[in-house]
Amino acid sequence: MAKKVTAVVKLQIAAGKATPAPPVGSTLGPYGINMMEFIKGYNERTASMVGSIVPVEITIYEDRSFTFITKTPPAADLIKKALGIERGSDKPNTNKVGTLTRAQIAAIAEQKMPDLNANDIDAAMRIIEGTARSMGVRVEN
Amino acid sequence: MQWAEIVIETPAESAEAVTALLLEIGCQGVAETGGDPRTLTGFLPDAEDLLPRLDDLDDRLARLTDYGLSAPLNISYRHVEDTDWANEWRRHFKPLEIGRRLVIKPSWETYEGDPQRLVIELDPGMAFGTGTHPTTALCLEALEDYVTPGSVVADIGCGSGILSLAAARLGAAQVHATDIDLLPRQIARENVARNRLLEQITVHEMEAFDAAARGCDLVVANIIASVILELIPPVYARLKPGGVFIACGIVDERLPEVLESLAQAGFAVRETRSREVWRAVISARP
Repeated sequence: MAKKVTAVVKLQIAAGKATPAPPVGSTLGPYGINMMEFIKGYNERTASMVGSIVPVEITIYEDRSFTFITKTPPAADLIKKALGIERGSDKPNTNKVGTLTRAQIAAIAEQKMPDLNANDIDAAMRIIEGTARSMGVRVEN
Repeated sequence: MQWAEIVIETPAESAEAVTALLLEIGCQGVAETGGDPRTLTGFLPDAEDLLPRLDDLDDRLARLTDYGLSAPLNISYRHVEDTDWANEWRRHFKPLEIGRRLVIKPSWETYEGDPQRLVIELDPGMAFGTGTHPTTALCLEALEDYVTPGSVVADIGCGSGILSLAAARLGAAQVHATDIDLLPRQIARENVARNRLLEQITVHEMEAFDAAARGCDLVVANIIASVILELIPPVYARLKPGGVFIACGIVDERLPEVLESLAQAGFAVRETRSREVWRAVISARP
Protein backbone atom coordinates (compact mmCIF):
# COMPACT_ATOMS: atom_id res chain seq x y z
CA MET A 1 0.00 0.00 0.00
CA ALA A 2 1.56 3.18 -1.20
CA LYS A 3 0.30 5.42 1.52
CA LYS A 4 1.08 9.06 2.06
CA VAL A 5 -0.04 10.71 5.27
CA THR A 6 -2.36 13.72 4.86
CA ALA A 7 -2.84 14.53 8.54
CA VAL A 8 -2.39 13.25 12.06
CA VAL A 9 -5.16 14.30 14.43
CA LYS A 10 -5.33 13.66 18.15
CA LEU A 11 -8.62 13.61 20.05
CA GLN A 12 -9.15 13.34 23.79
CA ILE A 13 -12.54 11.71 24.07
CA ALA A 14 -14.54 9.52 26.43
CA ALA A 15 -13.92 5.79 26.02
CA GLY A 16 -16.79 3.91 24.39
CA LYS A 17 -18.82 7.09 23.91
CA ALA A 18 -17.60 8.75 20.73
CA THR A 19 -20.37 10.38 18.68
CA PRO A 20 -20.36 12.45 15.48
CA ALA A 21 -20.91 15.64 17.55
CA PRO A 22 -17.96 18.01 17.97
CA PRO A 23 -15.07 17.58 18.41
CA VAL A 24 -15.09 14.23 16.55
CA GLY A 25 -17.36 15.31 13.68
CA SER A 26 -16.03 18.81 13.31
CA THR A 27 -12.42 17.64 13.38
CA LEU A 28 -12.62 14.58 11.14
CA GLY A 29 -15.45 15.74 8.83
CA PRO A 30 -13.30 18.08 6.77
CA TYR A 31 -10.83 15.25 6.02
CA GLY A 32 -13.60 13.19 4.45
CA ILE A 33 -12.85 9.98 6.30
CA ASN A 34 -15.58 7.46 7.07
CA MET A 35 -16.47 8.86 10.44
CA MET A 36 -18.98 6.26 11.47
CA GLU A 37 -16.38 3.60 10.92
CA PHE A 38 -13.94 5.48 13.13
CA ILE A 39 -16.58 5.92 15.83
CA LYS A 40 -17.54 2.27 15.74
CA GLY A 41 -13.91 1.17 15.85
CA TYR A 42 -12.98 3.53 18.67
CA ASN A 43 -16.00 2.63 20.81
CA GLU A 44 -15.36 -1.08 20.31
CA ARG A 45 -11.70 -0.82 21.18
CA THR A 46 -12.31 1.31 24.28
CA ALA A 47 -15.49 -0.37 25.54
CA SER A 48 -13.69 -1.85 28.54
CA MET A 49 -12.41 1.58 29.61
CA VAL A 50 -15.74 3.44 29.86
CA GLY A 51 -15.45 6.22 32.43
CA SER A 52 -11.96 7.22 31.27
CA ILE A 53 -10.84 9.66 28.65
CA VAL A 54 -8.86 7.63 26.13
CA PRO A 55 -6.89 9.80 23.70
CA VAL A 56 -6.72 8.57 20.15
CA GLU A 57 -4.32 9.49 17.37
CA ILE A 58 -5.80 9.20 13.90
CA THR A 59 -3.53 9.06 10.86
CA ILE A 60 -5.30 10.03 7.66
CA TYR A 61 -3.87 8.98 4.30
CA GLU A 62 -4.01 10.54 0.88
CA ASP A 63 -6.90 8.37 -0.32
CA ARG A 64 -8.88 9.15 2.88
CA SER A 65 -8.28 5.77 4.41
CA PHE A 66 -7.05 5.96 8.01
CA THR A 67 -5.66 4.14 11.01
CA PHE A 68 -5.85 5.00 14.67
CA ILE A 69 -4.06 4.15 17.90
CA THR A 70 -5.21 4.79 21.44
CA LYS A 71 -2.86 6.45 23.93
CA THR A 72 -2.48 6.60 27.70
CA PRO A 73 -5.24 8.52 29.53
CA PRO A 74 -4.63 12.23 30.10
CA ALA A 75 -2.80 13.31 33.26
CA ALA A 76 -6.01 14.65 34.82
CA ASP A 77 -7.64 11.21 34.51
CA LEU A 78 -4.66 9.51 36.14
CA ILE A 79 -4.65 12.10 38.93
CA LYS A 80 -8.38 11.59 39.60
CA LYS A 81 -7.92 7.82 39.63
CA ALA A 82 -4.99 8.07 42.05
CA LEU A 83 -7.20 10.09 44.40
CA GLY A 84 -10.40 8.14 43.78
CA ILE A 85 -12.32 11.30 42.84
CA GLU A 86 -14.78 11.98 40.01
CA ARG A 87 -13.75 15.51 39.15
CA GLY A 88 -11.42 18.34 40.01
CA SER A 89 -12.30 21.34 42.15
CA ASP A 90 -14.27 24.20 40.64
CA LYS A 91 -12.38 26.57 42.96
CA PRO A 92 -8.87 25.10 42.90
CA ASN A 93 -7.34 27.85 45.06
CA THR A 94 -9.67 27.51 48.02
CA ASN A 95 -11.48 24.22 47.70
CA LYS A 96 -9.00 21.30 47.77
CA VAL A 97 -10.13 17.88 46.60
CA GLY A 98 -7.20 15.74 47.73
CA THR A 99 -3.47 15.37 48.21
CA LEU A 100 -0.93 13.53 46.06
CA THR A 101 2.46 12.37 47.29
CA ARG A 102 5.67 13.02 45.36
CA ALA A 103 5.81 9.30 44.64
CA GLN A 104 2.32 9.38 43.09
CA ILE A 105 3.32 12.39 40.97
CA ALA A 106 6.46 10.54 39.86
CA ALA A 107 4.47 7.41 38.96
CA ILE A 108 2.00 9.40 36.83
CA ALA A 109 4.85 11.37 35.22
CA GLU A 110 6.57 8.13 34.29
CA GLN A 111 3.40 6.69 32.79
CA LYS A 112 2.73 9.86 30.77
CA MET A 113 6.36 10.47 29.79
CA PRO A 114 5.99 9.18 26.20
CA ASP A 115 3.14 11.63 25.49
CA LEU A 116 4.53 14.66 27.30
CA ASN A 117 6.78 17.16 25.66
CA ALA A 118 9.26 16.79 28.53
CA ASN A 119 13.02 16.32 28.29
CA ASP A 120 13.39 14.49 31.58
CA ILE A 121 11.42 13.09 34.49
CA ASP A 122 11.78 16.34 36.47
CA ALA A 123 10.15 18.34 33.69
CA ALA A 124 7.42 15.68 33.39
CA MET A 125 6.79 15.80 37.15
CA ARG A 126 6.51 19.59 37.02
CA ILE A 127 3.80 19.26 34.33
CA ILE A 128 1.90 16.66 36.35
CA GLU A 129 2.23 18.68 39.53
CA GLY A 130 0.98 21.86 37.82
CA THR A 131 -1.95 19.98 36.29
CA ALA A 132 -2.84 18.49 39.68
CA ARG A 133 -2.67 21.86 41.43
CA SER A 134 -4.81 23.48 38.72
CA MET A 135 -7.46 20.87 39.60
CA GLY A 136 -7.41 21.80 43.29
CA VAL A 137 -5.13 18.95 44.32
CA ARG A 138 -2.46 19.53 47.00
CA VAL A 139 0.98 18.11 46.35
CA GLU A 140 3.14 16.96 49.25
CA ASN A 141 6.55 18.54 49.39
CA MET B 1 -27.99 23.52 17.94
CA GLN B 2 -25.15 25.99 17.78
CA TRP B 3 -21.78 25.40 19.29
CA ALA B 4 -19.12 27.65 20.72
CA GLU B 5 -15.72 26.55 19.49
CA ILE B 6 -12.92 27.36 21.92
CA VAL B 7 -9.42 27.35 20.46
CA ILE B 8 -6.49 27.65 22.85
CA GLU B 9 -2.90 27.86 21.77
CA THR B 10 -0.63 26.94 24.64
CA PRO B 11 2.96 25.98 25.41
CA ALA B 12 3.04 22.16 25.43
CA GLU B 13 3.80 21.94 29.14
CA SER B 14 0.36 23.40 29.93
CA ALA B 15 -1.51 21.21 27.43
CA GLU B 16 -2.51 18.57 30.01
CA ALA B 17 -3.89 21.18 32.40
CA VAL B 18 -5.73 23.09 29.64
CA THR B 19 -7.25 19.84 28.32
CA ALA B 20 -8.41 19.02 31.86
CA LEU B 21 -10.00 22.47 32.17
CA LEU B 22 -11.83 22.16 28.86
CA LEU B 23 -13.25 18.78 29.88
CA GLU B 24 -14.06 20.10 33.35
CA ILE B 25 -16.20 22.98 32.02
CA GLY B 26 -18.24 20.52 29.95
CA CYS B 27 -16.54 19.94 26.60
CA GLN B 28 -17.27 16.42 25.33
CA GLY B 29 -13.75 16.07 24.03
CA VAL B 30 -10.70 18.01 22.94
CA ALA B 31 -8.95 17.99 19.58
CA GLU B 32 -5.22 18.47 19.67
CA THR B 33 -2.83 19.56 16.93
CA GLY B 34 0.76 20.76 16.78
CA GLY B 35 3.77 20.09 18.96
CA ASP B 36 5.00 23.03 20.98
CA PRO B 37 3.03 25.29 21.08
CA ARG B 38 -0.03 23.09 20.91
CA THR B 39 -3.51 23.99 19.73
CA LEU B 40 -6.40 22.58 21.73
CA THR B 41 -9.97 22.85 20.50
CA GLY B 42 -13.10 22.17 22.54
CA PHE B 43 -16.79 22.75 21.96
CA LEU B 44 -19.63 23.75 24.26
CA PRO B 45 -23.31 23.83 23.34
CA ASP B 46 -24.37 27.45 22.84
CA ALA B 47 -26.81 27.34 25.75
CA GLU B 48 -27.79 29.85 28.45
CA ASP B 49 -24.92 28.94 30.74
CA LEU B 50 -22.29 29.43 28.02
CA LEU B 51 -21.03 32.82 29.14
CA PRO B 52 -20.52 31.90 32.81
CA ARG B 53 -18.69 28.77 31.70
CA LEU B 54 -16.40 30.73 29.40
CA ASP B 55 -15.74 33.28 32.18
CA ASP B 56 -14.85 30.43 34.48
CA LEU B 57 -12.48 29.02 31.86
CA ASP B 58 -10.81 32.41 31.37
CA ASP B 59 -10.26 32.81 35.12
CA ARG B 60 -8.78 29.38 35.51
CA LEU B 61 -6.53 29.67 32.45
CA ALA B 62 -5.18 32.94 33.83
CA ARG B 63 -4.24 31.18 37.07
CA LEU B 64 -2.17 28.41 35.46
CA THR B 65 0.98 30.41 36.18
CA ASP B 66 0.20 30.10 39.94
CA TYR B 67 0.76 26.36 39.58
CA GLY B 68 4.15 26.57 37.88
CA LEU B 69 2.79 26.19 34.34
CA SER B 70 2.92 28.62 31.41
CA ALA B 71 -0.05 30.76 30.48
CA PRO B 72 -1.79 30.08 27.15
CA LEU B 73 -0.53 32.16 24.26
CA ASN B 74 -3.87 32.76 22.63
CA ILE B 75 -7.55 32.03 23.27
CA SER B 76 -10.28 32.52 20.71
CA TYR B 77 -13.98 31.72 20.45
CA ARG B 78 -16.17 31.23 17.44
CA HIS B 79 -19.77 30.21 16.83
CA VAL B 80 -20.15 27.04 14.80
CA GLU B 81 -23.41 25.98 13.18
CA ASP B 82 -24.48 22.44 13.86
CA THR B 83 -23.88 20.30 10.81
CA ASP B 84 -24.90 16.79 9.91
CA TRP B 85 -21.46 15.67 11.05
CA ALA B 86 -22.34 11.99 10.73
CA ASN B 87 -22.87 12.36 6.99
CA GLU B 88 -20.82 15.41 6.13
CA TRP B 89 -17.76 13.35 5.11
CA ARG B 90 -19.80 11.55 2.48
CA ARG B 91 -19.86 14.70 0.36
CA HIS B 92 -16.23 13.92 -0.50
CA PHE B 93 -17.19 10.73 -2.32
CA LYS B 94 -19.05 10.63 -5.63
CA PRO B 95 -19.18 7.84 -8.21
CA LEU B 96 -15.78 7.76 -9.85
CA GLU B 97 -15.37 6.62 -13.45
CA ILE B 98 -12.03 4.95 -13.98
CA GLY B 99 -10.56 3.87 -17.29
CA ARG B 100 -12.95 2.93 -20.08
CA ARG B 101 -15.15 0.41 -18.32
CA LEU B 102 -15.22 0.81 -14.54
CA VAL B 103 -17.04 3.00 -12.05
CA ILE B 104 -16.48 2.99 -8.29
CA LYS B 105 -19.69 3.90 -6.48
CA PRO B 106 -20.26 4.52 -2.76
CA SER B 107 -23.32 2.60 -1.53
CA TRP B 108 -25.30 5.77 -0.72
CA GLU B 109 -24.89 7.26 -4.21
CA THR B 110 -26.65 6.35 -7.43
CA TYR B 111 -24.81 6.15 -10.73
CA GLU B 112 -26.72 7.24 -13.77
CA GLY B 113 -23.90 7.62 -16.24
CA ASP B 114 -22.85 5.13 -18.89
CA PRO B 115 -24.93 1.94 -18.36
CA GLN B 116 -22.17 -0.09 -20.03
CA ARG B 117 -19.75 0.61 -17.20
CA LEU B 118 -19.13 -2.11 -14.62
CA VAL B 119 -20.13 -0.88 -11.18
CA ILE B 120 -18.02 -1.65 -8.12
CA GLU B 121 -19.81 -0.69 -4.94
CA LEU B 122 -17.29 0.37 -2.33
CA ASP B 123 -17.75 2.37 0.83
CA PRO B 124 -14.53 4.02 1.82
CA GLY B 125 -13.29 2.76 5.12
CA MET B 126 -10.13 2.20 7.03
CA ALA B 127 -8.44 0.02 4.42
CA PHE B 128 -6.45 1.51 1.59
CA GLY B 129 -8.02 1.49 -1.85
CA THR B 130 -10.92 3.86 -2.44
CA GLY B 131 -10.08 4.46 -6.09
CA THR B 132 -8.95 8.03 -5.46
CA HIS B 133 -5.26 7.20 -5.17
CA PRO B 134 -3.14 7.36 -8.37
CA THR B 135 -1.72 3.86 -7.79
CA THR B 136 -5.20 2.37 -7.42
CA ALA B 137 -6.32 4.07 -10.62
CA LEU B 138 -3.20 2.83 -12.47
CA CYS B 139 -3.92 -0.74 -11.39
CA LEU B 140 -7.61 -0.54 -12.28
CA GLU B 141 -6.79 0.70 -15.76
CA ALA B 142 -4.17 -2.01 -16.24
CA LEU B 143 -6.66 -4.66 -15.07
CA GLU B 144 -9.10 -3.44 -17.72
CA ASP B 145 -6.50 -4.13 -20.36
CA TYR B 146 -5.11 -7.41 -19.08
CA VAL B 147 -7.85 -9.39 -17.31
CA THR B 148 -9.24 -11.99 -19.68
CA PRO B 149 -12.63 -13.70 -19.27
CA GLY B 150 -12.48 -16.88 -17.23
CA SER B 151 -8.98 -16.18 -15.91
CA VAL B 152 -7.43 -16.83 -12.50
CA VAL B 153 -6.18 -13.68 -10.77
CA ALA B 154 -4.21 -13.08 -7.54
CA ASP B 155 -4.25 -9.78 -5.63
CA ILE B 156 -1.42 -9.35 -3.11
CA GLY B 157 -1.88 -6.56 -0.56
CA CYS B 158 -5.58 -6.31 -1.32
CA GLY B 159 -6.48 -3.48 1.11
CA SER B 160 -10.19 -2.72 0.64
CA GLY B 161 -10.36 -5.42 -2.05
CA ILE B 162 -10.98 -2.90 -4.82
CA LEU B 163 -8.64 -4.55 -7.35
CA SER B 164 -10.08 -8.02 -6.74
CA LEU B 165 -13.59 -6.63 -7.19
CA ALA B 166 -12.55 -5.01 -10.46
CA ALA B 167 -10.87 -8.20 -11.71
CA ALA B 168 -14.03 -10.21 -11.00
CA ARG B 169 -16.27 -7.61 -12.65
CA LEU B 170 -13.96 -7.66 -15.66
CA GLY B 171 -14.55 -11.37 -16.08
CA ALA B 172 -12.01 -13.24 -13.96
CA ALA B 173 -13.47 -16.58 -12.93
CA GLN B 174 -11.45 -16.90 -9.76
CA VAL B 175 -9.68 -14.25 -7.70
CA HIS B 176 -7.39 -15.01 -4.76
CA ALA B 177 -6.77 -12.00 -2.53
CA THR B 178 -4.65 -11.54 0.56
CA ASP B 179 -3.26 -8.86 2.83
CA ILE B 180 -0.65 -9.04 5.55
CA ASP B 181 -3.03 -7.26 7.97
CA LEU B 182 -6.17 -8.73 9.48
CA LEU B 183 -8.26 -5.56 9.24
CA PRO B 184 -8.05 -5.11 5.44
CA ARG B 185 -8.83 -8.81 5.01
CA GLN B 186 -12.03 -8.35 7.01
CA ILE B 187 -12.96 -5.18 5.14
CA ALA B 188 -12.20 -6.80 1.78
CA ARG B 189 -14.49 -9.72 2.70
CA GLU B 190 -17.29 -7.29 3.54
CA ASN B 191 -16.82 -5.53 0.20
CA VAL B 192 -16.82 -8.84 -1.69
CA ALA B 193 -20.14 -9.74 -0.02
CA ARG B 194 -21.56 -6.28 -0.73
CA ASN B 195 -20.82 -6.80 -4.43
CA ARG B 196 -22.18 -10.37 -4.38
CA LEU B 197 -18.89 -11.74 -5.67
CA LEU B 198 -18.38 -14.38 -2.98
CA GLU B 199 -18.22 -17.17 -5.55
CA GLN B 200 -15.51 -15.51 -7.58
CA ILE B 201 -13.32 -13.91 -4.90
CA THR B 202 -11.67 -15.55 -1.89
CA VAL B 203 -9.84 -13.40 0.64
CA HIS B 204 -7.21 -15.67 2.16
CA GLU B 205 -4.89 -15.48 5.10
CA MET B 206 -1.29 -15.49 3.89
CA GLU B 207 -0.63 -19.22 4.26
CA ALA B 208 -3.86 -20.28 2.59
CA PHE B 209 -3.18 -17.80 -0.19
CA ASP B 210 0.24 -19.32 -0.72
CA ALA B 211 -1.33 -22.72 -1.33
CA ALA B 212 -4.31 -21.52 -3.38
CA ALA B 213 -2.88 -18.88 -5.71
CA ARG B 214 -1.05 -21.14 -8.17
CA GLY B 215 -1.17 -21.27 -11.95
CA CYS B 216 -2.45 -17.71 -12.19
CA ASP B 217 -3.12 -15.84 -15.39
CA LEU B 218 -2.52 -12.51 -13.69
CA VAL B 219 -1.05 -11.26 -10.42
CA VAL B 220 -1.54 -7.68 -9.25
CA ALA B 221 0.36 -6.15 -6.32
CA ASN B 222 -0.13 -2.50 -5.40
CA ILE B 223 2.26 -2.13 -2.49
CA ILE B 224 5.63 -0.34 -2.40
CA ALA B 225 8.86 -0.93 -4.31
CA SER B 226 10.72 -2.69 -1.48
CA VAL B 227 7.93 -5.25 -1.09
CA ILE B 228 7.51 -5.62 -4.85
CA LEU B 229 11.22 -6.49 -5.09
CA GLU B 230 10.75 -9.32 -2.59
CA LEU B 231 7.64 -10.55 -4.36
CA ILE B 232 9.11 -10.85 -7.85
CA PRO B 233 10.50 -14.43 -7.64
CA PRO B 234 7.46 -15.92 -5.82
CA VAL B 235 5.07 -14.15 -8.20
CA TYR B 236 6.95 -15.65 -11.16
CA ALA B 237 6.33 -19.08 -9.67
CA ARG B 238 2.60 -18.36 -9.26
CA LEU B 239 2.09 -17.46 -12.91
CA LYS B 240 1.34 -19.73 -15.84
CA PRO B 241 3.62 -19.26 -18.84
CA GLY B 242 2.27 -16.16 -20.56
CA GLY B 243 0.82 -14.89 -17.26
CA VAL B 244 0.94 -11.17 -16.48
CA PHE B 245 2.29 -9.37 -13.41
CA ILE B 246 1.01 -5.85 -12.65
CA ALA B 247 3.35 -4.32 -10.07
CA CYS B 248 2.42 -0.90 -8.70
CA GLY B 249 3.03 1.51 -5.82
CA ILE B 250 6.51 2.09 -7.22
CA VAL B 251 7.84 5.63 -6.96
CA ASP B 252 9.74 6.92 -9.96
CA GLU B 253 13.22 6.67 -8.42
CA ARG B 254 12.78 2.99 -7.53
CA LEU B 255 11.69 2.03 -11.04
CA PRO B 256 15.15 1.01 -12.41
CA GLU B 257 15.67 -1.44 -9.52
CA VAL B 258 12.27 -3.04 -10.09
CA LEU B 259 12.88 -3.34 -13.85
CA GLU B 260 16.26 -4.94 -13.25
CA SER B 261 14.89 -7.47 -10.75
CA LEU B 262 12.03 -8.36 -13.08
CA ALA B 263 14.50 -9.05 -15.88
CA GLN B 264 16.73 -11.10 -13.56
CA ALA B 265 13.78 -13.24 -12.51
CA GLY B 266 12.97 -13.97 -16.15
CA PHE B 267 10.06 -11.58 -16.69
CA ALA B 268 9.63 -9.78 -20.02
CA VAL B 269 8.57 -6.20 -19.35
CA ARG B 270 5.68 -5.20 -21.59
CA GLU B 271 5.09 -1.60 -20.52
CA THR B 272 5.48 0.97 -17.76
CA ARG B 273 2.62 3.33 -16.97
CA SER B 274 2.82 6.47 -14.87
CA ARG B 275 0.68 8.86 -12.91
CA GLU B 276 2.20 11.63 -10.83
CA VAL B 277 5.29 10.09 -9.15
CA TRP B 278 3.89 6.58 -9.32
CA ARG B 279 4.78 3.84 -11.79
CA ALA B 280 3.09 0.59 -12.67
CA VAL B 281 5.14 -2.06 -14.45
CA ILE B 282 3.38 -4.69 -16.50
CA SER B 283 5.48 -7.73 -17.30
CA ALA B 284 4.87 -11.29 -18.42
CA ARG B 285 6.31 -14.72 -17.70
CA PRO B 286 7.49 -16.04 -21.07
